[in-house]
Parts: sequence; structure tokens; C-alpha cells
Amino acid sequence: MNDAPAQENWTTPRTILIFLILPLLVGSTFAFIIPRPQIGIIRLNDAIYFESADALIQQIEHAREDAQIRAVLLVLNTPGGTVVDTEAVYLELIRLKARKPVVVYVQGMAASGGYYLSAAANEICSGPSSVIGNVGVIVTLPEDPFIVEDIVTTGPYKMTGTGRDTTLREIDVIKQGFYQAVVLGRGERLKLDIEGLLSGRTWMASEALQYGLIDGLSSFSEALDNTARLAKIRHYETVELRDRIDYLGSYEADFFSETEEGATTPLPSKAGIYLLYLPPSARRLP
Amino acid sequence: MKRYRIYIAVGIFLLPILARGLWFYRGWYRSPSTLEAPDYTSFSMPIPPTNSEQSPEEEIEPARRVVLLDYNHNNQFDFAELDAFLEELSLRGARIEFVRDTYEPGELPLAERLKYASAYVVLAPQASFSATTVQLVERFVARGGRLLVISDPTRNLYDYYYEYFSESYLSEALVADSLLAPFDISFTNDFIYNLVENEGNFRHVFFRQFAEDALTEDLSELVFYGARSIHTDSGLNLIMGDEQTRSSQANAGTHLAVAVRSLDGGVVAIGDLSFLTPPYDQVADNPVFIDRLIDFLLGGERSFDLTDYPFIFQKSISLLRSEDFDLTADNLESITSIQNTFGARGQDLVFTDDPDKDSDLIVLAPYDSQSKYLEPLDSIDGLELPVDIFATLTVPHFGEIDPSGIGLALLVHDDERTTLFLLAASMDDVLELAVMLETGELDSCMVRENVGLCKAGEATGYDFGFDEYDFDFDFDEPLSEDLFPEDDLLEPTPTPGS
Repeated sequence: MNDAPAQENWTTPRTILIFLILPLLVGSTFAFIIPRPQIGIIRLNDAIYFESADALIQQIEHAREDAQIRAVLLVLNTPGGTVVDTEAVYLELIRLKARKPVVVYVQGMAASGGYYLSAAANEICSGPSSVIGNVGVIVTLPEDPFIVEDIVTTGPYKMTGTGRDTTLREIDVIKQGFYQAVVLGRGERLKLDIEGLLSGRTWMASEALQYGLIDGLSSFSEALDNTARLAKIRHYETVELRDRIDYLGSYEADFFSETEEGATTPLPSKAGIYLLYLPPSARRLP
Repeated sequence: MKRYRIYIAVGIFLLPILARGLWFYRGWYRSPSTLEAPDYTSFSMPIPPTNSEQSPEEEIEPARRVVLLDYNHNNQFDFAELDAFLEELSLRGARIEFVRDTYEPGELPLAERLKYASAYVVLAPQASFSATTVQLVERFVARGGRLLVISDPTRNLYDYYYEYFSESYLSEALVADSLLAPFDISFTNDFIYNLVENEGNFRHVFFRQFAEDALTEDLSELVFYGARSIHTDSGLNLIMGDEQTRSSQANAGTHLAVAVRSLDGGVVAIGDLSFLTPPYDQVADNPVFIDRLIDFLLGGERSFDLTDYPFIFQKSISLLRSEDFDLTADNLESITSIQNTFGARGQDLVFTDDPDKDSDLIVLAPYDSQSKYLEPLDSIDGLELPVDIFATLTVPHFGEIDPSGIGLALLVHDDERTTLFLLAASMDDVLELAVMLETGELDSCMVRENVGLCKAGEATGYDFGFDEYDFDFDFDEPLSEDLFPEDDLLEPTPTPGS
């Protein structure tokens, strides 16, 4: 007697509309509130210096704040760059890693400062023949203190900033930081001792894998899937983060010196302290 | 009933949301448990080890030796870098002479300087040594001279930036090797390093393994700031790296030597220059080692023979005034000239008949002199002076020879002094021979060790009759027929049929 009205209620079009179709439609609509996860792609095809580092940091900050971006794939092809800019980007990557996984894909070279950045990543993937490593610091020593007749300073190092010996010792401090960054980043995966790591060698990726400098050899798409796995997402979409920031473009020629004929060399245009790989071609005429 | 329907509605509402969520997400990212960046505040600059401050225990008597510093082979150092080292050398009594381009007026060539020097120091050379120079240096070392050769991998003529303008590259190790080859020492064209324990940089290497040698006595720790390794088979490895010290050439190597001493002890080669330069000369035991090196440079016992002429005297010099060689108006000018020549070289020369026992001596005498000052010649094996004009002269290395027109220069060292004897058939010939004292050269002599055979006077064995001939004829005058008397003219040779 009592069931009849209920059964009757479920069968009425009105009831079906209100309690089944409408919730389904509304629910489906609301489901779109859940965003499709994105993997932010940050590319560095340049040395690490003021402009490129600024662009990198903007992209990292964007990735950190954008909830839809669930992970970052940092695609590197860089010989490194200045110490301060490398460290700045490295520290931003460490902050990002606290909230979202960061994977590095080496597409050519992650040498010196490039590998410093890689050390901040959860995982490092690479193409088989990419160049990895070159852990260390390079510096052109300043001149010894000197005085000249027409320029008067208030201290012996006012002209040079520091002494040659002091500079040598300072770069050891930077080296310690680099070494610690690699040890902390790679942890137990690292199979190289301090001597091997600080030799400054570059390794081909396949070799670097054996030494635990990277986690795997893969294609770019596999690296993306790997990033998604760490972020625990599926059916993701990718987004080029450079498109989302106000990036002014490459200033490569400003960082690298040029020959008289206008060819770009692998040498920095200014003296300074660098986490930079100088390829053998740097010692030959182009 | 209505509540039941609401639950179902809510479930259906959530279903697509859940489905979409599960479609995209499988969980939440968990950041690594140890999310650390390096603690940059914990790093500190390496501090160099302080020096042992070992002061010399006893007063060191100045050595009064001449040390030659090569600057003629494109040597890659600044004099300012070596200020402390050179000052210490000077304080120890050394006179330092820079061997530079001989085109500079007043500069003596190396060959002349090696005649009187005690040590020859070659630092980071870039220009090749000639075969002649190598022979000179080899001979210098064989006679007690000391040779210090320092090569440094940071002093190659090679630079990234320079390389854009020139592709030439010459390792100064290879240049130094050409000088060291006769002593079985060779630099390796490498640099050594230690990545595990170093003095602030991988190329700043500690050394704590030393051979037993005067040069490394009391050393406990040295630091070289960019060194290359050295190889010797017969010599002594003075300073060696530990198991973790590697060579850049093979990224391997144990106990690599960075300083070696030749078998005879006269040559030291070091693979680093920086330890001689401030501030690295004050690190660890580096100042002690530098002190030992100075001992080495000033400690050689040079022997001098006649080939070192005119630098054969070590004391003030007496030119013997004897019955054979007295002061006359004829030879006054010669004596004054000789004094001036020696004076220009910083050597005092007195003309005396009673030479001081503390002075070296020059004796001018004919072969038949009876002077007591010729007595030291009696002890020379193989020397027989002619007692008359018909006798022959027998000289070591040269044998028996006709003494006419030949003078003899003999250098004799005994316990008291060095004596130079200039002997000839007559006093006139001796005076002709004494010209070498004025010129400072032995151009007219054939020298073997302490014996020189020199031209002095005219040979009497061959008489061409020129002495009797009158050369004072007038060239304008037509030739006298007497010069070619018709009687002396040869008859034409008859030809067949004529």
C-alpha cells in the first residue's frame, strides 16, 4: 500500500528529472571545476645569466602558484653560467620541489651550472648522448693590487675587489656548495665518490646513469610521463611556461664573447666566477 | 523516502566529479622527506697552513758566489715575483747576475758567465736551448756548478683568450727537458692535483713524503700551487705526492715526484715555481725548503781550469816581479794594461816580487828560468820544459813538440793558491804571450783542461830567408832587371820537330 506511491514517484518523469538527470547534469558541470592537470615545461637553451635566470625564475614562480600546473619538466641544454644566477634558480627550484615534482630532461647538455640546477630535481632524465656533469667552478683571477697615478682609491683592493689568492679560496666555497647540492639532490643514488665528482669531468648520459648522476635514459615524452607519474596525474596536458611570462628573449650575444668576425664563442664576455663548461673548441679558432 | 532520493541525487551529482577527478588524479604529490638546499653558511674558505718559522740557528757566512738567473729563454716570470727569493740569496752573499739578451751592451754571454758562476738557475723557460748551451751547462755541472731548473704548468704560453690570436702552444716542460736530458731528468707535460685533500684548490697539493737528502732535511709539509711531475731513472726523487695525488696526463699515478736531484747531485729540477713567490713562499715548510735550495745553489765546489780563463782566480792576484820579468820602460805599459783589465772584472792585481801567500799568482818566465816559483811545475806529470833551444817541449795532452814559436799556459792549483804560468822560449815571446792577460781571451791557444799551447814568437824551425830580404823597395820604380836576371830565365822546352 505504502510502496506504490514511492514506486510511482521514481517512475514519474518529474522525479527522474529532479533526482537523477539534474544532479547528473549539475555534477557533470561542476566536474569541470576540477581542472585538467598540466605539466609546465620550462626550457633553457642558453647559458645561465641574468636575463635567462630571470626568465627561469618567473616561470618557476608561475608554476608554483598555478594550481593547475601539477608538475614541472625542466628541459635543459646549457653549459651553465654565472654562479649567482645559477644559485638563484637552484634555490627557486628547491622551493618549487616542496610543492610540485620537478623533473629535468637533458636535451643536449647539463654541464656545470646546468647540472647544479638538475641537482634540485626529483629526477633527471636524459637523451642517451647528452653531456652531463662538469661539476666545478671556473674563474679568471683578478690582477694583483696596483696603484696608478690618476686614480686614487681608499684601499688596496678598491680597484680589483679581491686578491688572487682570496679568489682561489672563494671558489672553493662555491665548489663546496655545488658539491653539497649534488650530494643532497642525488642522495643514495649517487655512486661517485668526491674525487670522481669533483674531477670536473663530463659524462655521456649513458655513463652518467651508471654513476647515478641521472635516473634514466628516455625520450622527451617518456620524461613527461615520468613527471606525471611523480605528480600522480594522468591524461595531463602540457604547457610551455615561457608563453605565460613576460620574457624578453635571448641575450646570448651579451653573455658570450664574439670574435672580430662576429661569431659567438663559448667564452663569457666578462671576467667573473662561473659554473660554466668550456668545450674543447674554446681553445681553437672557430 | 525523500531523504533516500536526496542521497541518490547527491551521489549522482558527485559521480561525474569523482570520475573526472579519478580520470586525472591518482593521489597527491608528496615532496621528498629531506628537502634541503646546501647550508651555505656552513662553508668556509680554506686557510693556508702557517709556516714553521724556522729561523737559521747559526750565523751563516756569506758565500760570495755568483748565481746566474736565466732570462734569455723567454722565461715566464716577473722579477717582482722573485724579490723575496733573490733578496735571501743576496743576504747569503750571492751575487745575482741576470743572463739576458747578449745584444745588450756590456752583457756577457752565458758561455763567459758560466766560467765564473757557482750556480745557474733556469725558471720556466719558453725558448729552446741550443745544443751548444746544453753542452756548456753539462760541462759546468760536471765541474761542480749547480743547476736549478724549475718548470711550472701555469707558465706555459697558452691561454684560452690568446688562443684566438695564435694557435702556437709550447710547453715549457719540453723546453726545460732539452736542458735536463744529459742529467736523466725530464718534466712531464702535465699538472698534478689532489681532489681529496688540498690547500683550497685541487691543484694546490700538500707534500709530506721526502727523500733523505740535505735539501729535504727537517721538512714535514710543503704545498705546491700548481706543479708538474718529474721523472728520473738514475736520480733521486726528493719530494713525492701521496696516493691521492694524481697526474692530469693519466688521471692516475702514485707517489709522483715534483722535485728530483740528479745522480751526481749537481742538478735539481722542481715542477713548481709558485712556492718561490709570495704569498706561497711563506706557507707550511716552503720557507725552509727555499732556504735549503739556497744552500744547494751556494754549496757547490766549482773547479776551475784554463778553459775558464780569465775567470780562474778566486783571490786577489799577484803578478810576479822576478829576475825573469822585471819592471822596465818597455813592459810598463803592458803591466798597467793588465792591471786595468783585471780591475774591470773586479779583480785586484799587484805587481810584486814578494807575492802574498793568500793571493793567487801569475808567473811569466822563459822555459829555462831558474825561478823558485816554477817549482810547482815539477809535480806535473808529463811536463818537460826545454832546457836549451835544441831540446823539445813535452806537454800533457799534447806530447812532445818543437818549442819554437810556442808558448805554454799552465794553470796549477795547490793548497795555497792558484798559479798561472805563462812560459815561452824567450822573455820576448813570453811578453807576446802575456797579451792574453790584457785581452782576457785565449784566442791564440789550444786549451785542454789546465794546459794551453799558444803561439808566442816566431818559429825558428823553418827559415824562408825573409829576414835577410829587403822589402823597402820603391813600388813606383820599375822592376829592376836584376830581380829577374836573364840567366835565371828558363829556356823554353824544345818541342819535337822544332
